[in-house]
Amino acid sequence: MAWTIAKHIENVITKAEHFLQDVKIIQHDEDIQRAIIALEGKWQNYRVVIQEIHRVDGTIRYAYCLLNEANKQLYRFDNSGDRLAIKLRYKADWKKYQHAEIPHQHDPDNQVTLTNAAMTFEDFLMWLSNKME
Amino acid sequence: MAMLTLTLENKYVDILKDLDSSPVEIIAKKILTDAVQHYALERINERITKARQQILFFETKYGLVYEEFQKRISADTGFVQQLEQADPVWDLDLETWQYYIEVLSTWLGRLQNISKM
Repeated sequence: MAWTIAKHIENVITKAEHFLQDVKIIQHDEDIQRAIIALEGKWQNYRVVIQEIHRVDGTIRYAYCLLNEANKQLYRFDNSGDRLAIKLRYKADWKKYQHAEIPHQHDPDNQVTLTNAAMTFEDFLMWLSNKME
Repeated sequence: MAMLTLTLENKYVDILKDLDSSPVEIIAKKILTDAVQHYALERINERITKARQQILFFETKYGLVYEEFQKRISADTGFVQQLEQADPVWDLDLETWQYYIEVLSTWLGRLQNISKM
């Protein structure tokens, strides 16, 4: 295999198992042009769901989600082609960038705000520790 | 065509000479090509089967094929609300679904190439 992401994915799983409880791997696949890791676990009374899709060109589609006991999403950090995020970034030109991957976050009040840079799983765990402790 | 030189142990060269009157290089090349093709087809089919199983899982879960599901979530806000009520992170399924569609497409392409050998 010309490209491998195995080490990174192994690292994500190790970190998840260290920081979260009841970790369940939802998806894990490594292919020649892309790889996916999706898992969920408990952090205190919260449900944490994460997903990373790595492409051979080095780009990553990610989502790190925090849900409460009632399974309501509180926070989510992702770079999906969210229409609100694209409008925030490109304003009147947003239609030209309809599938652009824009790092952003969703707050409990459904507000979407742009983030300065793409988030990693490590960043998310750091945020979780700082914000929710 | 990429060239690859392999070394064959004498015991195999001898047995090939005894078993076939054609030059050993030609027989060995044919045997190796057949074996690699067989191995590659098996491995590709494993990847295709896994991707198809995953795609089928989502088609069954949502009762729609991917393209129809995409259309429905674009046009039907009530449907999206239902999905969100069932699981606020349902859209991650969509990402995974698409992932396996791309995997399937990659390996079907590779299968087509191999089958032309």
